Amino acid sequence: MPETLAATPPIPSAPFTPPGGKQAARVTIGPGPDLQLASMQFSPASHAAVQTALLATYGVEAPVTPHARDGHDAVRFIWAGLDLWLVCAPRGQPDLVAGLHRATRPHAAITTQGDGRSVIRVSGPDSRAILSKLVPIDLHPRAFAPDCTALTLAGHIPVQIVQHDMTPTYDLFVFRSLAHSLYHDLCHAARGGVPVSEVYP
Amino acid sequence: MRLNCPCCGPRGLEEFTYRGDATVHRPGTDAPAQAWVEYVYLRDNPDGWHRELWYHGAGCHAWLVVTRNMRTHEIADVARAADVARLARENAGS
Amino acid sequence: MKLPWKKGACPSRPSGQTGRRIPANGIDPDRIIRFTFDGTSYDAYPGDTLASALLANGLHLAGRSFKYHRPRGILTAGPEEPNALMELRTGARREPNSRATVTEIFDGLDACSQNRWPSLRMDALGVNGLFSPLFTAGFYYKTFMWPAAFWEKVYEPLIRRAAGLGRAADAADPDLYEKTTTFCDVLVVGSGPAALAAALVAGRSGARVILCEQDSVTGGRLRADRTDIDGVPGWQWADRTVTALRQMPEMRIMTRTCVFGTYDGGTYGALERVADHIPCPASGQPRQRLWRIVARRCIVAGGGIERPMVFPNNDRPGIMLAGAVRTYINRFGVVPGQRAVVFTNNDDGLCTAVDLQHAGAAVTAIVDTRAEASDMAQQVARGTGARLFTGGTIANTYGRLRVHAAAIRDRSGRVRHVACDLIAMSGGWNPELSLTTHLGAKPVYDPELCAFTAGSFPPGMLAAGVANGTFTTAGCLHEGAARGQEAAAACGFDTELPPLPAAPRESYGIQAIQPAPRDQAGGDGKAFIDFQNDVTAKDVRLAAMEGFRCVEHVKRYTTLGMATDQGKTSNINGLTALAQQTGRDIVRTGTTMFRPPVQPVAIGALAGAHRGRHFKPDRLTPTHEWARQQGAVFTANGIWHRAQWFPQDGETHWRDTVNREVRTVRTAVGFCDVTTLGKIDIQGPDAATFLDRLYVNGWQKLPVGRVRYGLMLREDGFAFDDGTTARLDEQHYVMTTTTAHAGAVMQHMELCHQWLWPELDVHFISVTDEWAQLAIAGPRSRDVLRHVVDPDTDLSNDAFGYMHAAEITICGGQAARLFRLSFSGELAYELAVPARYGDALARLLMKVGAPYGIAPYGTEALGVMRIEKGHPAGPELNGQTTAHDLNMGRMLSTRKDFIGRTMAARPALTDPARPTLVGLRPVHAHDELVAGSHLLPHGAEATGAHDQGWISSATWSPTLDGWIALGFLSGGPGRHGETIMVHNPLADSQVAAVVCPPTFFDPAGDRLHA
Repeated sequence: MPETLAATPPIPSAPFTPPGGKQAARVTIGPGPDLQLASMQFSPASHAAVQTALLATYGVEAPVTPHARDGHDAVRFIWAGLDLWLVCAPRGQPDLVAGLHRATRPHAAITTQGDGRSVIRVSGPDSRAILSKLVPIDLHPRAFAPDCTALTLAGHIPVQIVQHDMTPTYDLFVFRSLAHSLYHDLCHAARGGVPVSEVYP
Repeated sequence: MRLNCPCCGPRGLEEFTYRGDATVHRPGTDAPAQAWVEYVYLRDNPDGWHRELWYHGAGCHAWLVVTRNMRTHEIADVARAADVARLARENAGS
Repeated sequence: MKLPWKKGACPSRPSGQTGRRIPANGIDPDRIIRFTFDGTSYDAYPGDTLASALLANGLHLAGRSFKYHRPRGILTAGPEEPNALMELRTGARREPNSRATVTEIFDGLDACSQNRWPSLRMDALGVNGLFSPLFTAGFYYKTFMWPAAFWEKVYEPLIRRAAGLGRAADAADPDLYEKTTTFCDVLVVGSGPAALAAALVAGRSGARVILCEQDSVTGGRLRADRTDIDGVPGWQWADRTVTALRQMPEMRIMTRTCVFGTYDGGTYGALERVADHIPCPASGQPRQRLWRIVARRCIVAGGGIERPMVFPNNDRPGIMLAGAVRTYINRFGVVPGQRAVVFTNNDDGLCTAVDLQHAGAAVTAIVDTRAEASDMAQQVARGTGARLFTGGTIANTYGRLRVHAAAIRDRSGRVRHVACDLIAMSGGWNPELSLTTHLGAKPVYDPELCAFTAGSFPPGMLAAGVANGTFTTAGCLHEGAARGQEAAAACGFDTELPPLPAAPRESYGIQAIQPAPRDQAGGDGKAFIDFQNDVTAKDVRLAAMEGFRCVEHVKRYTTLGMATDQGKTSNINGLTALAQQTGRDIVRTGTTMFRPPVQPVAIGALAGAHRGRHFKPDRLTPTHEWARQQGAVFTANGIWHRAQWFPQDGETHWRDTVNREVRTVRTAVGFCDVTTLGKIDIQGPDAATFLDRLYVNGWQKLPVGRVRYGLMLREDGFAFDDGTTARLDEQHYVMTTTTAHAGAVMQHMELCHQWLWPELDVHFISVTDEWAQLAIAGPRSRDVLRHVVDPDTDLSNDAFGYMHAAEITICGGQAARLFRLSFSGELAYELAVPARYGDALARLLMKVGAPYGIAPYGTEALGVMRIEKGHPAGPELNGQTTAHDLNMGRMLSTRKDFIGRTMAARPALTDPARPTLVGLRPVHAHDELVAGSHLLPHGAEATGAHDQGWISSATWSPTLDGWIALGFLSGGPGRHGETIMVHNPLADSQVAAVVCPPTFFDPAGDRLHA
């Protein structure tokens, strides 16, 4: 009798916090929420049709600037590049891929990405200072706020960053095969501590 | 060096790769062999403004047409290659 | 000539003399710390640099010069120091060429002098001074040339022994380094009056401001000079201002941080010395941190560097820059001499006479080169009691290990000897403008200041204060505030200028030194221009006389300005000497380029955390951890880690393991993780058309549920990549690529879609990471799969034949994809599951496959089997082969356009004489065939003229019990059966081999279609 397969997470489930001490970083690094994840792509020619369909089904249009937007039932649309969006929904909710297919057919290409990307969550008062050691974009509140997203690098690893809240908390979407390496780099950066010149707005 | 990606905003050079000349165009299948040889191998080297193809590989994966001055390294414009290509098609009426 | 002081009889301080310090603003006199120099222990105070502590302990001899090994002392009090280069620390942290003037003392610091043997006082190579006539300009180009044979055996070993300054550590660096990026509106470089005024105004406007000070304390020259601002000592005003700045929420103040470079796009490099000033970084803490600062505006306010005077024997210990003497007195409480001579061409140098007297030292003479005595000169001479020599100069100095007398020539030409243990010299100040020049802007000469100032600025940069040629304290405050306002406004933050604090307008009155008349020129001593590289005025004259008149040539011919101090104290004096020699003015003489870094940056800091094992990211397959637990040996495929083979107990050599894995697959069943091959999901009405244009073969007619092999070319007609593409639905395809080219193919597809054919209605995205993909291969593979695949999928050969594909479920409803593909040539499948289940699937296969003898296999066995079947892979698709070369010419469609179509048809690329893919077997099966070997006709001489091809892949085949190879042979397909010679020039070996079709095993493919 075939047994159900067990899932293996790419990074440890218990969040990492660097040890205390002078200049210790107040930050936790761990898995982000386990989400249903899909990619959605459609051309400019189909733009109006798809947005109308999304509005009807989810109550929102997909954002056309680098932002995340929440629709009904916590379905979240995240701009992810040229004509591309990541769509996420909590586990346990109706099948996201099937729902998107139904809503957007025949205009949009939908693929499941729930295993293609892993989410690493970085949270704490010092998370900006630690992330800045790897991520070359401006994360200052004047430049980046909750629901802002950016496609960039963390060190040598391509990531998509979404700011989750004002703690600040950031979710990093990374290719699953690189999650272990990114997690290691983030923990290493956290262990390096906060620069003595760090400013808190 | 920083490039202002139209989708992502200003980013450092490490996120991009350079491909080459954006002013050469792929000949049709019926074009003579010489046109193809030029398309594949021959490039002008202008002193001054030039349009080039760059790829935002570590970002939004957009191909970009960058208008850059080869002498002063000043960048005047960065546009999505897809927009430039579509516009060219519309103008050509094809 | 009677010298009033006997050599060595200078008054020196007993060691442990820190009690004889005077009050100062930069040290903590309530704590004593200890350091070691050249093996002896001394006292110091927190706040001391190694230089100030050495001077305080009466140690004036700091090193030996590079070429001549002349005794040298401390010249400056800053990063421009050319002489006092020390070796710091021991063991793996040992660091040579560290400037004592910027080395912060910590308790337990271990320092050594360099470039001397056996000791600083008794340096055997001081004899170099005797050979000095040989060591003139161009020495390196003129000597050691003949005889040629002597170079390797004699000259080079000798030079190596004598050369170099300090010793690098032998052990690996135990420290960590970090890099980080930060953004701001206004970056202020410096922390003197101009910088602080700028930061104050910009900060108050609400702009995001970063202030970077390379020193450990803020204040700049306010710590060195006794200047009052708003009625309080300048350094107190600085401290209060910094306290006020720290209250601002968007103000970042960084000390021990040097902005070392200006880069394009408003990007600046800065190096923070996080733990250089403590014995050991805390656990996890970096030693240094590299900052990339992106600033909309940058105000360069880093002050200036004083020029030495050029006169015979101007390099003795005890001859220092006048401004540096004030720093040692006022910041460190150290008076570097008791009987001083001040030598200056400007009013600022006179301040040193005042401060020396204030500190209790005697100023015996003021030598002022200017023709007329300024008001200040007369005043200072009166106040200090020093004898004023207006229009005078110093003709020579005396004292081997420390200066003890100077020969002063007055304006009438008469020479007097004056006893002294300190000569404080000021040739004027140079604005520190390197940051303004890194992007090519050329400085301009200001004849009134006798210095270069910034002529133009890179975009976004401004300058203020001494760095901008403004030399009064009041001027610095005014200019700094104005620039701060300007910079903030440019970033959209408007603010008013506050009232400026009261500050002096010091006089300067510099006059260029006129060249000495011919008969007095040169004197009988060396007049140094570049102290670190031992370049004298005579060297520059000689270079010009030999025809090296361009400043760039003079620099390289004499090595002036090429030492680790980058000519900070020598460039302008060198230009002046060159201008005088060539009869041009300085403007026409020009100046050399400055390039980053302004101060040395450790390579470790540039690497940051990406070093050693962590130089590149690790890309892991879903079965990685499971494979590791099995004891797999891994190999790197780009950044991917893949199991290469899985050794079992009793196997002593990897070939035994690989042979076993191959045999297992060919007789039973094995499985291999092939997740790393690129997988691209393609959807849309124009998907098939898109595939048609990317691949050489056709896709419109591929039925749903089938998979097909495809070859892609580059536009120049050469093979680019290959893979299989499956049609899962009407408008839904999944393409695979090779592991190595996955990224390149994706990038290529994006270019084609966005730039070449934006009208195509197609979308594609990488799903390489989404699906764990395991190849399950061997005669029993179907049997094993039946235990995993849900019963609703019919796995019989009729229902699911070779090159079929389907979306299925396994393990009671888990979504999966099944492809009947074979790289091994056996009955084989590839099973894809969401990556999170890859590990569990591997364990399940081991379990349900055990009765069939299942074993995992790695990339090595994978490689052996594909060679046995003649499948081209990376070595055959090396970017230099065409479809015809690969025996795939028939695949090239004649009915559609595709990338590379026209260029692939070029006569040279279709010439049948081109080396074409063949198989090779050695005549004696156990003769090893090595990839890279050349193929020659049998009996031909092993020369290039007879070269007919090469071996691309070779392996021992356990299936055929002999060596086999794939290669490219001119006219290959027509030469099957011919015996040729395989020549390995590296091993100088020849093996006879027979040409055969590239498929060595099951050529009919019966096993594939089972």
